[in-house]
Amino acid sequence: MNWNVFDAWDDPFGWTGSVARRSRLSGAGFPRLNVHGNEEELLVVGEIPGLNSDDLDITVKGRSLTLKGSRKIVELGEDENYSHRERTGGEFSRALTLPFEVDPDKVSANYENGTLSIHLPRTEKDKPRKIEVKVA
Amino acid sequence: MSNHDKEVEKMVFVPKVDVIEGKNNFTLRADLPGVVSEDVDVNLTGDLLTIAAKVKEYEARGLPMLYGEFVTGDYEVSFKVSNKVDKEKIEAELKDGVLTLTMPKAAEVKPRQIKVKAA
Repeated sequence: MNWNVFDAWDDPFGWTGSVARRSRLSGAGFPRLNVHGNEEELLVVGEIPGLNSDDLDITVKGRSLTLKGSRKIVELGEDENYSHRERTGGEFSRALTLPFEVDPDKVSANYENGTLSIHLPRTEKDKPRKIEVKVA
Repeated sequence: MSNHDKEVEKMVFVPKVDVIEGKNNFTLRADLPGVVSEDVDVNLTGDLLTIAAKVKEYEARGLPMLYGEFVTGDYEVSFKVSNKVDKEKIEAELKDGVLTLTMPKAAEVKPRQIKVKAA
């Protein structure tokens, strides 16, 4: 038996949402990432709704950052079927090359409201140094 | 308030949605990353169910964006709920940016076991 719960699913014009389907920059993998930073620190942010943070591995080595994890979309019970499906799950992996070396001991990550934020401070030895010019 | 480089017009997105039919319920799940439960509004007017959510922009520590693959925005989607759903008993829950609506089936569509009496 396969009938739809929502009349709208049968009718492509049943959706009343007047806005376009969420469009993102193409070419990127999952999760989509934004990188913020300056010369001393970086912040990598990703949208991963419904993530169990135990299923996430963050690896930092020198100038490389790797995110590996799996997003579990709820498994169906015996009597359950999808009537409509757009969300995707499964394993993901993303690697980024950072503009400078970061200190792995000082990296911190926070997952809140489906958004992952990773803060990566630059290593001390790699930080740009100002050389003062003495006026004689 | 935006932490990002430029204040651009806020986008409104249609969230990705799954609907699962079970024996007694329909379950709808919508991805709403960046949304807290106080900022989701689920409204049923007649047959029309509307999910509207305001995004809470992430804290970028005042750091400028170097590279971007997504923009944040609010979410809105509406759909008609059929008579197969008991509209009085729809429940909503938000966790980790995923909204779950539990919609019990109306009594008339629930499978019923009819006992056959021995004569």
